[in-house]
Amino acid sequence: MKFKRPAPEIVKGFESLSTSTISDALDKLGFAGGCQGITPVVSGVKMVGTAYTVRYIPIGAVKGTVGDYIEDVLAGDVIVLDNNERTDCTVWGDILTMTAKMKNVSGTVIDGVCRDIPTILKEKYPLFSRGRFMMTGKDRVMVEAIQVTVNIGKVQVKPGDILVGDDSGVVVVPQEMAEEVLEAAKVIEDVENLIVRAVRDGLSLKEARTKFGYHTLQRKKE
Amino acid sequence: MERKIFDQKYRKRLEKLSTTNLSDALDKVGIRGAVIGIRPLFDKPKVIGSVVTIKITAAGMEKSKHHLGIEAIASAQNGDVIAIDNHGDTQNNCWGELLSCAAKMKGISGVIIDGAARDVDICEELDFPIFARAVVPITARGRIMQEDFDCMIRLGDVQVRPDDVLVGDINGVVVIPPERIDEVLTEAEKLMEKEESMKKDILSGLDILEVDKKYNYEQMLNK
Repeated sequence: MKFKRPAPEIVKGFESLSTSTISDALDKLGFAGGCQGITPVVSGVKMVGTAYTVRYIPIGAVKGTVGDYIEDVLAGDVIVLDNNERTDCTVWGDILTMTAKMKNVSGTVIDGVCRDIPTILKEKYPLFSRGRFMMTGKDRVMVEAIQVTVNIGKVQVKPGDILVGDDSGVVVVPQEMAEEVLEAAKVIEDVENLIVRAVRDGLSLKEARTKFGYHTLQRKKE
Repeated sequence: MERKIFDQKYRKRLEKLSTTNLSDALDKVGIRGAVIGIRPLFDKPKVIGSVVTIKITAAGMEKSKHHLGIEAIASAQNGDVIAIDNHGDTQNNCWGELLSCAAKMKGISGVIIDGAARDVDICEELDFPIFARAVVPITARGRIMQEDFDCMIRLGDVQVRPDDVLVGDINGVVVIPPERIDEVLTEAEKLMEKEESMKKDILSGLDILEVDKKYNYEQMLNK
């Protein structure tokens, strides 16, 4: 699949923004980007990077392996593994965690589950998944395709899209919307800061929210 | 497999077998072929055929090039089965009235969906069998889209390739690799025969413990 990574300064722009703010900005622009059911394994770690995608399929008459794609992943990428929401076999563990860490990969997002949780916790590796398990994906699933459009928590992810993860979960920013999302998110964040300040200064929350238009911040423009 | 050869050589034999016989036979020869949780939405249809596959993905910035399902219907042959991989999504529809009409006209045996369908009443009137996980009223438009067709897909946790043989009945769906269909059919027929005579013995009043011992039922899948 033809794709290019977004400019580093655009990706960097998302580092200071929460997934909640980015999700509101995406709502405003008409894109539902939050990955349903995907949660962090490690608390308190932030992930920002560009998607490197891998799609799995069950082993059958055609047999394959869980893949050796990681050599092609660049520092700053997020590895995105679409295992079709499967929670009965893992596609990520300690060896991949150590390798990804060495390569300065930004993190991994799995529509499925991972194992070797102690290593992931110890390394504070940004790992987002549908849960934890230990049975291997080897001889159960195989890589079907690399760097193709995949689904994570019902959201379309294309190679080069920007993924942001924090304790609230993971949000997908389509690359072609990234600049717009960044702008909208900054506006939303500024307004929310103003509301908090106003409340601290003695305004009621209702007054502060009305003053700054809180309830329509995320509303799509007609 | 050539459809003519399939129809001549295998269709009649498959018609006599249930998906349970076939699933047991697949277990016996060591193939993972039974799909869990996809069932007919009405009646007790029997659907048998070579598969034409469709793969669905979430809608997003990358847009669909084609109306979901139409190329698969156009490329299918008489008696084929259409299978749709929407990875178990029960929130979005991927099959309805118009596709059923078109598929029926084309002589397609039925559709098997790892996801949801709609217009089920009309499909029932049309007598076009639908197997799925759920029924919804919602449209696919703007929510999901066809990613590809005539490609490798999954139904449940089972790999499905174009031209694999699919059989569906009230018990569920099984996937049979055509290159091993002879072996699967031979085993399934043996199992069916054995179960038929067990049934006869039980109904004639023989004690179940005796029948079990006579036929060594627990060991039936041992090689």
